[in-house]
Parts: sequence; structure tokens; C-alpha cells
Amino acid sequence: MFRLLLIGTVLTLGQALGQADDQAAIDSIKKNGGLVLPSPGGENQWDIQFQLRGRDLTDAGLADVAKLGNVVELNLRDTKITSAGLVHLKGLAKLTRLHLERTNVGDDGVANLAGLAALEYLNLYGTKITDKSLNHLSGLKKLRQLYVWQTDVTDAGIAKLKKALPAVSVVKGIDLSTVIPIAKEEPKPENDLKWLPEGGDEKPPAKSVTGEFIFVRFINNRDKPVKLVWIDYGGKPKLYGVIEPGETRRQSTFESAVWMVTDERDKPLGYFVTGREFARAIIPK
Amino acid sequence: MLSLQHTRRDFLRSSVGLAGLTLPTFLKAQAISKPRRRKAKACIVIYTWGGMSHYESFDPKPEAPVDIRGEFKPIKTATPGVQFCEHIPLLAKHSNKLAIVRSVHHNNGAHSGAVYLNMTGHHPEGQIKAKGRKNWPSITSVISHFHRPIAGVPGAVRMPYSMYDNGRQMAGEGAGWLGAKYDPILMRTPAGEPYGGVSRYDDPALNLKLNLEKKRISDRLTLLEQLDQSLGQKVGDSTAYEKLDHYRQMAADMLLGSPVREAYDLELEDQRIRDMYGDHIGGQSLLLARRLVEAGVPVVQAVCSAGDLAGGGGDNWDTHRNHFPKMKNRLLPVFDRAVSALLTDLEMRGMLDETLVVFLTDFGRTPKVNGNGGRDHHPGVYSMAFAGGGVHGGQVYGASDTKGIEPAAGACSPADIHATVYKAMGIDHNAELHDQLDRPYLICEGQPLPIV
Repeated sequence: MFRLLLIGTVLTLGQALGQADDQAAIDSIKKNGGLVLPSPGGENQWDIQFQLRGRDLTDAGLADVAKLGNVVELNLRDTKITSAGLVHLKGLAKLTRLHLERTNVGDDGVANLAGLAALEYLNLYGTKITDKSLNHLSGLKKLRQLYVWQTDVTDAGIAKLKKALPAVSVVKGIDLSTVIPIAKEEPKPENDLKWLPEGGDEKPPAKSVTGEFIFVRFINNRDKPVKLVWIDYGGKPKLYGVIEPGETRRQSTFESAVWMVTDERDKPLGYFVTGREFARAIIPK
Repeated sequence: MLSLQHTRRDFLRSSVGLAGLTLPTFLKAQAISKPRRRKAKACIVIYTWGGMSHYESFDPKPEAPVDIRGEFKPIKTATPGVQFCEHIPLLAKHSNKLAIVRSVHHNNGAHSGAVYLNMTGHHPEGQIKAKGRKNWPSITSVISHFHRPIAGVPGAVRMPYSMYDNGRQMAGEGAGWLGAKYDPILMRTPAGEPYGGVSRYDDPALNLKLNLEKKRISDRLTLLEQLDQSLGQKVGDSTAYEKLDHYRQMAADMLLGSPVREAYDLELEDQRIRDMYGDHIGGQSLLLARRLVEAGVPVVQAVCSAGDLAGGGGDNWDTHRNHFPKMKNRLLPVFDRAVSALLTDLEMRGMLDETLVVFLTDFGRTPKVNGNGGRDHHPGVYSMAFAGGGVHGGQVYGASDTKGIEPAAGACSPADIHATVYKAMGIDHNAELHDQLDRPYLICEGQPLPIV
């Protein structure tokens, strides 16, 4: 029992000494806005992220990362680092995932990654790299995922890398100039809803009934503004808006809905009852 | 022994979410249990509200009699031997990224119960109320409990509106007994043509007016005023007050330079990327989801549907009437384009293997087409899908029978789907969580599917 305790104490001490060095590096990384997270599944291994709060990170700040050593994941997306800073990453033998996307890194910087034998994931999209970078990576036997969207990397360069590293998947992304926006087709109103004037022979239903969703285009042909009122499922009026003289309002509604038109003083002028199709509702003079 | 128990409980309660762990806490936790290795760091939940037909999406039945198989044809996908409905042709090209599950089933044929079950992983007990603090927490709330974000970033976001059935708000989208702190923040998607039909805006939503002048202080005041107004009537009871603080805090944090504010401004996105998602709230919501994940939000839920089922009218998946034209013209094109764009976008940015995408819905639709050309509720079997986050794409788990009536292989429950999500997110699905009275609950009763 006593011996166990002794061993425990020695282990804790040793751990504490190593931790003191680490702690200084961690504090410095945090000062630069970096997050230092224990990497799940490994002991004293770190996942360092600068992309959220540490976007002002410059090359000098990467020296702290090098001091920490056991870094398995490093995210430098959107930071101000350049190729020159990547020299600090040379010694990160356990690094498996590296995010450099959307930085000013170029081929000279990527040359520093040639010895990162544990690297499995490398994100270089939106950087200044060319096919030359792929040559620097051709010795990374564990590399499985490489991202080069929005760079000058060519299909030929990728083909060459795949000969050296058959298991790597290189994602080049899509060419955004091929994206075709959806052509907006405004449905054409095919028919006009019948105007049921207030006090006329034909009375509108007392309330709306729920049905399929449609549009109605209200057109105010009066020389004064009108109010547009929906008669709800309980027969209660609900004001939707005012249509100025000569103006048009595109209104979403349902089939079998009752719409009342009033003057500005809420005096009813008439009604429309929607059908099943997109339609015009012309408010007469 | 007692003290060991205590430490274990502390660990489960405070330390499984690795983000935000301090070094001493981590070392203490590490002595007790090793955290699981995971790929997924964020999760996007896509909910097709109303109950998406399995026939007209991921599980077409071309061999079934005509009154069951419906009007649409199947198409080939990028995965040999796997067919989708012909009206999701873009998604069919992404099948190599998708793990389709064709054998989910449960026994709750009502929207209120089914959405609760699919969002929380637990069957409703007794009367469930929207925002009830006795409810089980939503899957989004649980994930946000374990994956803590950095300061000023919401733990969970949902958009663009809450789910309603004929004016009644559904239970299952909130944090329930986990407490208001874990309620996902509702955000309004700031762009895109809205879904046709009824969508309600009763909940307080963060609706940042980003085009106002950029002076921080005045912006901040304006936003807080807006939030106060939207919450004004409810300040009376203490729960609402607690929530008010939550929102106010979030609003203030976001205005003081959080990456979330930038993420919310879709005008900053490349117009061609916006076009790729489609100028519809369904597409722009998923674009916003990607931007929020980039900004560090651990979990985002997007409802791909009008907010209120409104008796089956409008652009929602509750297709009791006119099922085929509505699916073909209104629902599937938006869904197909938006989801395909999300998968393309996540993939080319190198985010897909760190982001788990989960498709959830209430239930499937009935085999027989009814007299109104619609399909009714069918919880007997339905389909869902996973992508990214370490899930192996290009596979189908389970199968329905030849007519799509019940599972023929790999029968699984919503709880199993949740367990799978937790596994992918590095969360022990047997973890214990505590409510505000410190009572323990096992978060999930399911077993992970062997697809991660």
C-alpha cells in the first residue's frame, strides 16, 4: 500500500514538471486567442484551434505551438500566418490534422511539411499553392485527405501525387462559374377572381376554409388606398395591409380563402374568394 | 467508494464535453475514463417536418403494385444497387457520402408524439407541452451540453422557425429538464424565398439587423430593445425571465465581435455559393448552418418545411392531399438542391468529416395512396440518413419489406438513431445527465447502428 502511494507520488511529480513547461506554452497560445483542447483518445495530446478567436495570429505565435510538441490537431484557418511561419511546424511529429485553409500560405511554406510523417488530413483550400506543393507532400505515406479547392493546383498535379500516394483522396471542389442560379418563374395569373361588391346579390362565405397554398395578386384600380382584410377560419377579420391607388400586392394565401376589401375607414367595399389557382384580384374603380 | 462515485458523477456532468475543459479538470477526468476518439466536431440536423414519404425519397418501391409505388420512378445513385426517387437527382449523385437507414420504425402516428420522439429519442409520457421543463431535452440540447462552445457562441441554434401543428407548438425542440441555458437559440434565416403556407414567429428569435449602422453601442441597444419587446409579455414568470437573460447575454456577446455575427450576414458569402444553395429559405438556412458551424456553433437544426402543418396545406411534408404534385413541384426540388449544396460545400471546404449531418422526420407515409391523391401517416417504417462526421458513406442500413410497410431487416428505433449520433459526436450514449433537481437520467436507451 505504502509502495503504491510512493510510486503514485513520483508519477505525479514527474507529470507536474512536464506540465509546467506545457502550461507556459498553453498560456501563451491562449493569449493569442488559441483554444488548447485535450485531444480525445490520446494522453497529453493537444488539439489547438486558432480559427475562432485567434485570427490575428501571426508567424511568431506559431513558436508556442512548436514548444507544446504533442500536437495532433492544429487549425490555423483564417489566421494571418504566412509561408515563413510554417517552419515552426517542422517538429510536430504527431500532427495528424492540419488546417491551413484561407491563409496566405504558398509552396515555400508547404515545403516545411514534407517531414510530418503522421499527417493524415491537410487542408489547403483558398491558399496560394500550386502543383509544386504536391511534390513536397509526395512522401507523406499516411496522408489520406487533401483539400485544394480554390488554388492553382491542376488535375495533372493531382494525378502525379496519386501515383506516389494511391490512397490519398484529393478534393478539388467545383468550379463556381458552373453554378447556374435557378431561373425564377413567376407563375402567370391565369384568371381573375370575381369581385363580390358589398351589398350585392352574391354573398361571400362567412369564413375561410383551409386548403392548398396559392398566391393572389391584388391590384387596386381605385383612386384611393384600400385595406386588405382576411376573414379567418373563425369568421374574424384580420388586417393584412394597405394597397395604395394603382399598386399591386402579391399575397400568399390558401384556396377557399375569403378576402375583404375596405376603404380607409374600414367600410367594406367588396370581397374575393380564392380558387385553386394563382389569380388576379382586381379591385374596381 | 463513496468518493469514487462522486468523482465519476462530476466527470460525467462536467467533463465529457471536451471543449471548454480546463487542464486540471481534464487531467482529473482522464484519470477516471478515457474520452472517446471522434471525428465529428459539429452536427447539423435537417428536419423534414410533417413526415417525409420514404417512397418518394430514399426507399422507392418500383416492384410494388401501382397503387403503392406511386407516380414517380426510381433513379440510379452513385452507389451501385441503391436507388432514390427520381425527383432528388442531385442528392443521388451524393449517395457515396450518405448512409441511408431504411428500417426506422415506431408506433406513434401523431405529429406531436412523433416529432417529440424523433427530436428527443424518448416516447412522450402523458401530456407534453411545448417548452415544458419536464420534457426530455432535444438531441440538439444534449449535444450542446457535451460540446461547449467558446464564449459568445450559442451552444445550439435552430432555424428558421419552430414547428407547429394547426397553431399548437410542438414539444421536443427545447432543452426540457436540462434547463433554459441549453435551449437552442432560434434564429431567423435572413434571406431566401419563404416556404409557402403558414409559418409562425411566436418565439423570440435572434434576428440581427446587420445592415444598421455599425456603431457597436447603438447596435447593441437596438438589439436588446428588440429582444425585450419580443419577450415583453412573458417576463412575469421566472422561467421566461431566465430565458430572457440567456437571450440578452447571447445578443450582447454576439454584438461584441463574436464570429457568429459575421456568420449570420449571408451578404458576405460568395454570390455563386448562395446560388448553389438556391434562393429559397430552405437553401439559405443550410448555408447559414454551414457558416454557423464554421463560427464554432456545435449543433445547428434546420427545419426544411413551412413552420405550421396547417391541416396539410402549404409547403410541408404532411402530404395527405395532392402528394405527388406537391412533392415534385414544391418540396423535393428545394430539399434536393439545398442538401446537395450543403454536402458539396462541406466536402470541398474539408468540413464534411468533422461535421455530422443527420436527416430526421416524424414518420413515413402510408403505402396506399388515399382518395385525395395523398399519403397518410405511417410510423411502421421510414427512412432517414446520415452524412459526414465519420459515418461511412455509400451504404444502406436495414431494409423495408417489398411494399414498404414494415422493416424487413435491421429494424431500429429513433433512440438507436440518437445513440448513433452520440457515438459519432464522441458522446457516451449511456452517459448520465442530471436535471435541475439533480435527478439522474440516462440520456439514451438505444444502441448505436454499426455505421460510424
